[in-house]
Amino acid sequence: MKLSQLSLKPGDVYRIEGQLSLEVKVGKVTISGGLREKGERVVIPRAKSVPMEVESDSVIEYTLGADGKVERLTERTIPKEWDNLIADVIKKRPKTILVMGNVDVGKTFLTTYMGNTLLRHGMKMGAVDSDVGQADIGPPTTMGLGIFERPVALLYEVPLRSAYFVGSMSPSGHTLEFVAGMKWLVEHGLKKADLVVVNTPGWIMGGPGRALQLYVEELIDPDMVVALQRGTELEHLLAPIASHKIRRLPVSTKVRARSPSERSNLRGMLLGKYFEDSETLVLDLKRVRFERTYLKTGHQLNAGEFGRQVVYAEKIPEGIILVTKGRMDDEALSSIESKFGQVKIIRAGAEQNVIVGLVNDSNELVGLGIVEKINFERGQIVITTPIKNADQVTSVQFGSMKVKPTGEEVGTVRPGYF
Amino acid sequence: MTLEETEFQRLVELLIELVGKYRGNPVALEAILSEFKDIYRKVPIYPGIISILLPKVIRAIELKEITEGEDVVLTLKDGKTISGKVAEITPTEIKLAESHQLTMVPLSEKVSVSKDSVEEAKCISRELLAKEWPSLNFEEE
Repeated sequence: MKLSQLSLKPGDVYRIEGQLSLEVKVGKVTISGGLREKGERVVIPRAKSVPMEVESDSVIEYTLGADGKVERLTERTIPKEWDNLIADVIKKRPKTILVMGNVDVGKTFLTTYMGNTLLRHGMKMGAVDSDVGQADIGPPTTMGLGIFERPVALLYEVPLRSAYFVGSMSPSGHTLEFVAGMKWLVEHGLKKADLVVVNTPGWIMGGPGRALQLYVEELIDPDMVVALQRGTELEHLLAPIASHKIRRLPVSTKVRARSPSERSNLRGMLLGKYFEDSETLVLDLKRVRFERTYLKTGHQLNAGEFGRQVVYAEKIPEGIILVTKGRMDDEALSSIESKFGQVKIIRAGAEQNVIVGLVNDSNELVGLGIVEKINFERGQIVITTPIKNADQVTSVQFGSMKVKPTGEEVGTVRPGYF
Repeated sequence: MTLEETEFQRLVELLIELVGKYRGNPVALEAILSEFKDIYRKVPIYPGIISILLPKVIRAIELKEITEGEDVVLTLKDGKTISGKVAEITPTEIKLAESHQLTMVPLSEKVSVSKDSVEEAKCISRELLAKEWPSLNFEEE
């Protein structure tokens, strides 16, 4: 690949697009707001682009890969209102900031720019990424907390400090996990950073979307609410919020929208990458707890008493769970129903491919797994996961997606089935 | 989470179950849907209560237990379904008022319909998930 050199003047603005590898030879530039000085290298992957602004007379050397580009712009792409906000943050030192915005308005870039710029001013920012479909911080199906400890070009370079398992690619039907998770991550972030910025999901309309935004705001009680909007699309969400907290920001001019198929492919790719080095992990059902499921929350009964097809039986307050290898006859079922109440039948093997969160004793997410099988006879759950040490896993949190280790989504779990 | 976030899940599953159970019985379906509409309009925030009540709309009853004034649906041995309000019961008959007979008459393979006779036409679309959201069209369990 050809090495190119470029001399830059203070105030020059460029858009650099991957694949690209760049080294600052002389002077100072900022990339996504992060200061880069002599000797520092930056790599931008394919299909990503970031702004580079020149601070002093500088020289950079770069090589371009597929689709890579260095483009000089006539003006800044970052609105001055963004810098005004950051100046305000430096002055007022808020502890929590909520960033609201529709999908594809650049919440991720705003967070990156803020984190980098605040770092230059000696403030360590934590970022909570709630885009569970294609999280930059943490793997898909989780919300992640990252701390800006060095400048980054893209948000995914921020090291993951804590993650909260949601178990789905969307907040729909999972608003409780979202609200609980955001609170949990903000509390963790505040122990490690000077302030925490929370990116809320781009679900801004309709009852559930409004409710999610409203209660996240109420629970976190942020010092500032940043509304990143193209027009007035967030005003209905801002109406109940105290006006002194609200900062309205325009969208950066270079935001690129992703199509639904692009999002779906990206999700699959990220998940596949996460499970790349996975192996089989066997956990003892007597040792690990189950969370977010009906299973293992009651007391186990002798399965043999319910017929040959039944491999596991458990009494729960709502009735009884029977895991069966085959179809049970109606007469047997109605007799069980009259004795135990509601009968929840789970087909043995239905748990295959369900995504799970593996949690340690401090309730920290250790990693993700995909259920291969629950072997009730042997008292084991068999999981595909990159986590190697079974001892650190004390709890299994059930998600509602079914995926393969390649990242392919293959189904969903009917709520209430397990 | 595999737990249900709301009781609407149970309600949807109950409706699927009832529609399947009474597929060939339009009177029963009409009664269930009309009760559903009525209860939902009064307590839309309590789907759990709707789920408890809906299965009670239609219940099996022995002929000897039928009393005058009750709304009934009778499925006859020849496959016909008759509904109505019980006006009188004799040792050998049940006399119905406001009664209807509902039948789905299968037609021959090809039927000609005069365009002049059509009041309104509606087109049926199926397999919409596969057509409009293919990435979520998973294999059914």
